[in-house]
Amino acid sequence: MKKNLRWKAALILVIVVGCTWAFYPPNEKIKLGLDLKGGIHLIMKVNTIDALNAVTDELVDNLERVLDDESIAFGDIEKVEPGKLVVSGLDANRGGEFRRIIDNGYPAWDVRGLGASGFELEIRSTELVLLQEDTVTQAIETIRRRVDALGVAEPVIAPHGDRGSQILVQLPGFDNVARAKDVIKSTAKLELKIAGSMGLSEDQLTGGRPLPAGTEIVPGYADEGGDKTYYLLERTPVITGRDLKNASSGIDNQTNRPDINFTLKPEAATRFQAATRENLGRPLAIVLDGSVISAPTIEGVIYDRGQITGNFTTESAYDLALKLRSGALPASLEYQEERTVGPSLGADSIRSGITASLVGLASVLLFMLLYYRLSGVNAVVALLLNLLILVGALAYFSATLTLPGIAGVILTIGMGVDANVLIFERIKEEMRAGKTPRTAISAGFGKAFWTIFDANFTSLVAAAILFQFGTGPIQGFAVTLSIGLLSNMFTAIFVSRFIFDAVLGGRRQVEALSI
Amino acid sequence: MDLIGDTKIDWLKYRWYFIGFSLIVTIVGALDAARKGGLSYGIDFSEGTIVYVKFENRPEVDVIRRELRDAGIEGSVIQRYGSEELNTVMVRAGRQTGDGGELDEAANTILKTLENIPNNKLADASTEIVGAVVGEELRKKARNATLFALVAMLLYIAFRFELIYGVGATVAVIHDVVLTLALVSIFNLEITLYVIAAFLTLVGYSVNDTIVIFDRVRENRKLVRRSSLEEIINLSINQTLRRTVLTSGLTLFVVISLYVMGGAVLRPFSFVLVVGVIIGTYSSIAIASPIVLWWRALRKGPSRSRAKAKSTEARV
Repeated sequence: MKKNLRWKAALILVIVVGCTWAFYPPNEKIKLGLDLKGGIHLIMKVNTIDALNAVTDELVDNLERVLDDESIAFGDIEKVEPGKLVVSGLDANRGGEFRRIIDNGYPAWDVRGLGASGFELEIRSTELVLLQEDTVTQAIETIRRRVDALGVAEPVIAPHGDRGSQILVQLPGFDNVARAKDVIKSTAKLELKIAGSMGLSEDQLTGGRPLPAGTEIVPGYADEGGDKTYYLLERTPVITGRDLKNASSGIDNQTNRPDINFTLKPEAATRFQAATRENLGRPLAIVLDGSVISAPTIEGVIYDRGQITGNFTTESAYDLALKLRSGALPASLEYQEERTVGPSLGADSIRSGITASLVGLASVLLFMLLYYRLSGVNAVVALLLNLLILVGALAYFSATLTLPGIAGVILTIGMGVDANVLIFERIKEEMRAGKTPRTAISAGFGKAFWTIFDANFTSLVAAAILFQFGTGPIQGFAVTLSIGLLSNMFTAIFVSRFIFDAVLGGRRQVEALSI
Repeated sequence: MDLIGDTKIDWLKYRWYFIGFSLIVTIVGALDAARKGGLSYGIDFSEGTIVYVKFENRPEVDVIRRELRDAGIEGSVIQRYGSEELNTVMVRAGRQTGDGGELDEAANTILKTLENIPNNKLADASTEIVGAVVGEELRKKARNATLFALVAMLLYIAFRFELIYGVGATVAVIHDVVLTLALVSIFNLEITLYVIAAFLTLVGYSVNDTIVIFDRVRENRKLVRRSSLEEIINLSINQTLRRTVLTSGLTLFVVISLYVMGGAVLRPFSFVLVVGVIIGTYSSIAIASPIVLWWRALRKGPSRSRAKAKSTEARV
């Protein structure tokens, strides 16, 4: 064997072994979708009241600012219940002005007068319904992003129940259901707040006096196994989860413990820079879902990137980064029901789908053998290797296989034949033009190469775009397609040429080619 | 061994028949879809109902599916639910066109059908409303991703060939999707997630087929400089015809075996692929190639077409 054939043989062998290892044993390595194997069925209630609370709090903050800006004097603005607030002690002469501000700026709210200087604001019922629907829709999108990021393909996520206040989630047989449930459920509301003092109880912090304006007390467990600690924080966060551009987990260089690195969007970075400059030496509390997870001291001015340290394991850091990337849930969720579900396709449907795929594959292989004779053996080897690479890569990327997915794999093989046909027909053309087998093979591969390259690469470009901009099922499709195209080019051009060279290479003269 | 010998068919001579045929199918499909009030989308795309039932004996999903289909419930998702010995099943189904389109009606029909499943009895039942799995957001993303992908494809072909080849291939792909959609409407098929996957596959297949012919045109334009573009395109189609027949034939064989033997669940998926492979092959010859030719005629021969216009005027 020539030297250059030897390294080609070695490369092919490595790929065969690698792909076999990737999917063996298949019943462990290959994940089957909801349609083939079933999974878990979860029903969650969306606590839409959380979202209502949030908009009410936001309105309180906004009104305080607007009234200050317009220099309208007022006593107090207080949330009496979610969706309802009371403004008291307003300058009696400017009541009309106040109504106009609400009607123009906050049309979702209904204003009622309470005596001369008081007003009650309540969210309109139509707006309440909209808000509830929006909350469920947003929660579904966030859950979908998280589930996608966990690599669970083909989930079912839909509103459930009367007026859609619940969410139905079905996940295919996932190794670690508890983890998936945890990732889905946690709100992941991140806030970075400037911290003042800390203490072991609320009383210790306040000393019995009322809180300074614009501050609050938040509990947390800052240290491993430590006691519950209370922190006095500025109420307005410097940075929230929405300001993050990206987040990823890593290892802290100094402590060697898992942490999360984040980058900020430009406008948030400017804000963060100013805040860290003003508060050098003070602690910055990292508040996650209403609890301080750590409060590192600000040691320098930070611009657009930062680090979240805390008591993490590698997995919990990874999961938190994932949740931060997918955004916070607009409201908390409660699991109401959890069941296993069987495959949505019956045994007969699965059997006939797989039989049909195998029959299709076998016929293609048989045809290639009959039509191209000995060269057909070459094509069959290339196609089987193509199948092996495809299955190995799917297992490696832990893609979830569904019935149309299996059909798609077979179809990729069917279409993969195209490259072989293009090459073989080109070789035949060259031989008809009077070339010897060896030069015909060389010319056939040479001329077919750019055809195959352009045809496959165009689809590859499309697949890359589908992956970049698509979600869930579309991305899954793009991955399968890309793997198919690449392994197709590799087997039809590289492997098939290798077989020709290896078989014909030893002979000094080749009289005829069985094609 | 060769299935067909060398051919010298003047494909482009028939281009008006091809275009006419494609237009007729599109119009018939559009009228059909308009008559039915648009394409029908499967359960994943719309609000539906979930019926939870408990049987006395072990239920068979395939039997339930058959019975529901006989009762006119289309496109339902049937799953065993809870642990095996509970004999519980959930059925998810959308609005049914047959019964006034109300969800309650669909739920009632499902319940009635399940009550009458042979050799089994219902022990318990409840129904619930379920929203679309593929909501507006997901649809928008899928639509944008597909559009961007088409544009990227056009740009790549324009870069490797010429702009007009990119336009030709892209128009051919759009043509294939439209024609296949027309047939989906005419044959009363529902658009499901499976069907969408089939459409994406068909786009890839169609482009692949078109590029093989374009590649030959690119090569022949360097080899036979004296021939007209029309002759070169015809020659290229004929030279690649053997490959076209083999590849399309084999792919078609695979999808037909899926259609015939793959069972009812895979049928809409394989239908789109069977039709798509045929149309995708056809459009490379009948749509993509004529577009490239027209462009050349428009740019190179304005005088000739003006002369033609004059002569028609004169006759009028």
